[in-house]
Order: sequence, then structure tokens, then C-alpha cells
Amino acid sequence: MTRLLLLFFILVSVSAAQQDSAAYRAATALTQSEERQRALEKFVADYPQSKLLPRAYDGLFELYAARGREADAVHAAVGSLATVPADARMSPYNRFAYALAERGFALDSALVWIDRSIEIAERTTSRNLPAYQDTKAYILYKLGKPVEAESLQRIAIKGHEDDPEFLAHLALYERANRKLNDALATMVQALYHGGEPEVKEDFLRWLDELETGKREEIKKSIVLTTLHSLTDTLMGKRFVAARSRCAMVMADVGVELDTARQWAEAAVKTLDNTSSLDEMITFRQSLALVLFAQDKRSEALRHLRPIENLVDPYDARFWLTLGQMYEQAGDSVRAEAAYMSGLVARNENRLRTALETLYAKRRGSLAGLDAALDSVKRESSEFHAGTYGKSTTPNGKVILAELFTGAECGPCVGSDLAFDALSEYYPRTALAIVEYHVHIPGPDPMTTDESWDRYTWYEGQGTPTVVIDGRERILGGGPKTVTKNRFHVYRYAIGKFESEKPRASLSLAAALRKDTVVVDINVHRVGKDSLKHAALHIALLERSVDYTGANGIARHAFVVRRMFDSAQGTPLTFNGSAQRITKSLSLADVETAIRSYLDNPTAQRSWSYRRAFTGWRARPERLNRANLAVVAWLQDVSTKEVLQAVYTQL
Amino acid sequence: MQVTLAQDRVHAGATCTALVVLSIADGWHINAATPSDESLIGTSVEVAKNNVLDSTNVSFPPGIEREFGYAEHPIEVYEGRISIRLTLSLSKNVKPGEYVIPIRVTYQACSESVCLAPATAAADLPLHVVPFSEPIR
Repeated sequence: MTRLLLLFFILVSVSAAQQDSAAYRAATALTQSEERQRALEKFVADYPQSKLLPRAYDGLFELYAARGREADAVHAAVGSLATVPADARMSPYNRFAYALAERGFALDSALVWIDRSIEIAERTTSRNLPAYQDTKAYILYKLGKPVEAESLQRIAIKGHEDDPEFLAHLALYERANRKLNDALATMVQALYHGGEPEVKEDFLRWLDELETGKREEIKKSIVLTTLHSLTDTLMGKRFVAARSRCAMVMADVGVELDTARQWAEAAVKTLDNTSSLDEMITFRQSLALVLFAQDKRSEALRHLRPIENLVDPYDARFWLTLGQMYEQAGDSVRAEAAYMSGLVARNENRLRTALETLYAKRRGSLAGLDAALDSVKRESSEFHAGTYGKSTTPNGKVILAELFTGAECGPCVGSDLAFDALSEYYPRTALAIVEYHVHIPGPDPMTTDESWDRYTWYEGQGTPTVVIDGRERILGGGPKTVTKNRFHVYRYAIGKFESEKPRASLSLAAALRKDTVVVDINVHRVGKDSLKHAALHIALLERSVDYTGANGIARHAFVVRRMFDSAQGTPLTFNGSAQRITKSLSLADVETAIRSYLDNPTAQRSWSYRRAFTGWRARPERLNRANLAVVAWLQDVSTKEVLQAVYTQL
Repeated sequence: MQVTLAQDRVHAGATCTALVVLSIADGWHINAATPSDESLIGTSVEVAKNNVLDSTNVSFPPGIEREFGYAEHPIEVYEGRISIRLTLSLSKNVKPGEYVIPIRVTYQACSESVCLAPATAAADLPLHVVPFSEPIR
């Protein structure tokens, strides 16, 4: 009887939980804000014990605040806070206090709440204390106490001197305390450290408070003095990069554009094969912004076009700036394309607004906008890669492209598909491809211990990670709509090495004999290169494996199934100028090892976390004999540089 | 990760509350305790075996549903700063003294473009058990 009652109780609880969840979803799905508000008010009344109550109150807070209903907003905030245990309110107090201060609502309540946040933060030695002090300073400013605000902000900013938000707040209080020049200098620092466009707008507006005749002179003096103080002690590459960033600020605020151009051009001139992708993009972007500020629009856009394919689709600021530049240059078509490029991976509000404004201006309505955006997204994921057009690189170097991926990894989709595109674009005589599967974020049955060993050897920081020729590491992917971008980024990295001469000559003969893979490899030194730290790596690949994980990719390419001689490879010990290595690998043994792995994954070293194993979606344990390949490469184990690679199909 | 007790000291046989506070960097999220997709690794808390506690009840905050370009359905995640509440029931037999209870939180983090390997964060919860004659604050 007791058991039955317990079961009844559990069923009732589950049912209630499902009801509140459904009601909450229905409420938040309403697009009309008044309807949503009424539905959330009803939810709060109907489900006072629901776990979703804080979210419902948060939603109500936003709705009330947006409509200027101060008392109701405070009431909703109190409701939300009441759902959190007293000692866990540090962050929610801060959140509501700042939100109230932003709107100028109930500042006394905001002050009480932020004091509670600070009290808990001090008691628990929380690292978030400066953020709460920043909020309190802002509330004090809103309460008309700028002296106290500035004083507190100077304490909060210690250790956050390069945080543009802390700096922008400090500038606000300095200005209120009639220290306009200090405020402007602080705003320049905020801009240098990547402040949002609003910082620039405030800076330019505040300049109007200066005496008209001296405005330009003071502006120039403040900007240059501040930028020099931030960069003059730097040396070498850091100095060049800092000057390029200064040039961007100078272009932004219209100061000393000729000097800015010199600095930006100097940075662009340093670009070579050793430059990172980030340097390439930011240096060119800086020069383009300066040229644009000098009204040299076509020249500016000429510098941006080569990097348009390489800039991260998540870099909303770049795409917004590019779109605005095209708009100002009168090229609405390219402006729209720029805004859309920034919207392929995620819906970013500022870009969406800019796109909608331009789209409506050109066509009179927003009809067809979403279809056009869908078309751009499709084109970003299902594009034609083209072909390399040559059978080898100029000097015979075969570049090695390694991808660390996971079938459960959502952001790996864009990189997986970009690697498919690379395999179409390059012949295997120019680019050898290997794809290692690892259990990130979830279990992946194509994982091997050797794959994990390679990942840790490269000090992997997440999936997807791409390593080109052992030297260029590229972290991050995204949904399938970033495929085209990732393809171009990887191509750029490959391009850095493709004109190099191979530091060793490598030939590979591989055959399948009686279900055993036999490889015969000849390594020849080139010139006087001692190849002192070289190791030979040999990987058995399955060119495609059918398996569908959570990320939806159904066919996985160039999957590493086994490495001959482990992930460490075979160290080479040259007696003369050449060395011959012969190895064999029984496919039955490989399959046995795969089965053994799949039977007991948690016992393997690649199972790197504490978690119960609940089974595989499927077990891709059979090797398709007609679909195998071998990749061998010679790698310097100290620098990780790949000296030469070779690929052959079995 | 921080673990704090809601009171400065405890009595044997009493029930007290501890909070595990996780700070998640901007732009990142971890899966909620019971994410919508069973293939995702939910955030979990493990209290090391000890002779001090009879039982521990873990109460996770609700996750936030987020849509990601790479996922077909919204995923329930934690972002920013979250507090996990532990209700600890002390054994009646525990002697007054200083105890340390190791706490481990397993989580798996992703941003919009990168996933990290599942990881475990550890922290110690100090428990100051005092005789019944001493008051609790």
C-alpha cells in the first residue's frame, strides 16, 4: 500500500512538472508582449512551487521594465529573488540592481540589493567583487553622487584596467565631476581596449562640451597622449600590433589620420607567412578603417576584400563595420551581403537591425528577407569548393591537415564539412588528411587511445581543433553555415606552408596481403638536415565510416582507426642518408582492439572523465577493406613541424 | 568554483545547507543537470564518501533553454554564475571537531564554436562540528 501511495505521489509530481513546463513554454512562445505578460502572470499564480518560477519572474521583470511599470518590475524582481536561497542571491541581487539602475528605477532598492551582493562577495572572497562594486558605483552615479561613484570605481577597476566597460563607467563619473579631459582620456583607453560603438559616440558627443575654438587641438592632444602612454613601452611585434590598434582608434575619432595611416601600413607590411590569421585580419582592418576615414573608400575596401572570407562569422563588429562602410560607399548590395555574412552563424541583434533597415530602404518592406538570408546560409554550407588545379604543391611538399572532432560535437559540424571540402579541393598528393575522433563532448565510438594521445600531445583545448602541418592550430567551428568560412581559413593556413620545400623525402608503398596491411616506407634526408628529432608516424584510415552521432553528421571521412607504433611513432636513427621501414598490421587484430575498446571504453585512457557509460548508439567496429588508406608523415617531435607526408589508398 | 556553508558551525545530527557556486565565463555554457538530450553530459555533484554525513540532497537550479545554430532543439544550459544547493544531514555520531568534505562537480562546457572535454572541478567543504552546548550562528 505504501509503495502504491509513493508511486501515485511520484506520478502526480511528474505530471505537475510536465504541466508547468508546458505552460511556461506556451507563455514564453507568445510574441505579443501584453499576451506574454498576462500568461506569465497566470503562470506565477498557478504554479507557485514550479522550478521555472524564477524564469517566469525574470521574464515579467523585463516586460514591466520595458513598459516603464516601475513598481511591478520591482515586485517581479522581489519574486524572483525570493525563489533563491539567501546565500545564493549574490549574483541575482547584482543583476536586478544593475537592471534597475540602467532604467533609473527604484534606485534605493537597487542600492540595498547591491550592498547585499557586496556583503556576500566580501564574506566569501568572491572574485566577482569588482563587478558588484562597479554596479554600486553606477547606482551612486544615478543617485546623483558622482564623487562617491568615482571613488568606488577607482577601487573596482584595479585589476580590470583593460576592461572597456569599467573604463567607460569611470569616464562617466569623471565627466559628472567636471573632469572632462580626464573623462575623454579614459574613453580613449576604453576605445583602445575594444569599447563598443556607444563609447565612440559618447566620446564624440562629449567633445562638444569643449570650447569650440580649442576642441580639435584638445582632442588631438588627449588622444595622442593617451595612446602613447598605452603603447610606448611595448617592443617588437607587440608594439607593431599596438600601433595598428591605435590607428583604428585614431580613425574612429578622426585624429592625425596621416600618422594613423603610417602606423597601420607599417603593421600590414610586417605580414608574412609567420603572421597569425588574427594579425592578418586586424592589421588590414585597421588600415582599411584609416583609409576610409581619409575618404579613400575604394582603397579601403580593396584591403578588406581579401579577408572577407576569413573573418569569423561570429565577429559581429567586423561585419557591422564592413556593412556600414559599403553603405557609405553607396554599395548597398555588398552592404547587405556583409550584414548577412555576420548573421549566418547566429542571430545578432545589431546586425539584424542594420540589415532590416537597409533591406526595407531598398525594397520598401521586409518581404523576402528571411528567404534571402536562408539562401545565404545555404550557400555558406553547400558551396562548391573548386579544385586546386595542380597535382602537387610547387616544391613537392605534402601538407598534413589533422582534425580533432567528435560525433557528439555540435560545433564540429562546420569543420567536418570544411574538411570534406578540402578533400575535394586538394589532391592527396598535395594535402594528406587525417581525422581523429575523441570523446568530446560525449562518447564517440570512433575514438582510439592513439587519437586521444595525439590530441593531448598537441595540448588540445577543445573540439574542433585543426592542426596544419603540425604548426598552425585553429580552434573552433560552428554549425554547417560556417563551413565556407572554415574552408577558407584552413586554406589560408595550408597556403602558408605550401611553397616550402620538404625537409625529407618520403615514399610509401602499402598493400593488403592476407588481411594484413603491409607498409614499406623509405625516408631520405634532404641536404644536410640531420632530422635529429624526427619520428615517423603511420596511420591506418578508413576513408568513410557511417555513424550518426548527436551532431547529425552521418558519414565521417579519413577516420584514424589505428596508428602503427602508437601515437609516439617510430624515432628515426639514420646511419646514412636513408632509412627503410617496413611494418605490418593485421586488420583482424585492429578489429579485435576496436571491439575490446567498445566493450569497455571507461577502462581506456582516452575516457577522460568520470561518468557512467550508458552504451553506444551503434558500434562501427567492422573495417571496410575496400575503403582503407594509409598516411605516413615525418614530424619533428620537439617543434611539432611536419617535415613531409604521404598518403596512399589500399 | 566555491563551496560555502550557510552557517559557521554545525551540530551532530543536524541538517545544514551548503552552496556550490560555479562561475561560467562569458560566451560559454555548461549543460544543465538534466539536459534535454540524454547524450549530453549533465552537470553533476559528487560528495566524497565520509563518516560525517548520513545523507546529502543535491538541488540544482533550473537551466536556461538556449538555441544554438548547431543543435536542432533548444538545449538546457547554465550560464554566468549558478548556485547548487546541498542539504547535508550530519550523522548523530559525529564527534565535535574540524572536518573537510571533498566535493566534485563534473560538467561539460561548450561555446557556440567550441566544445571542451568534460571536466571535474573540486573544492573542499570545511565543517566545524561543535558540542550542543555551543550555539550556531
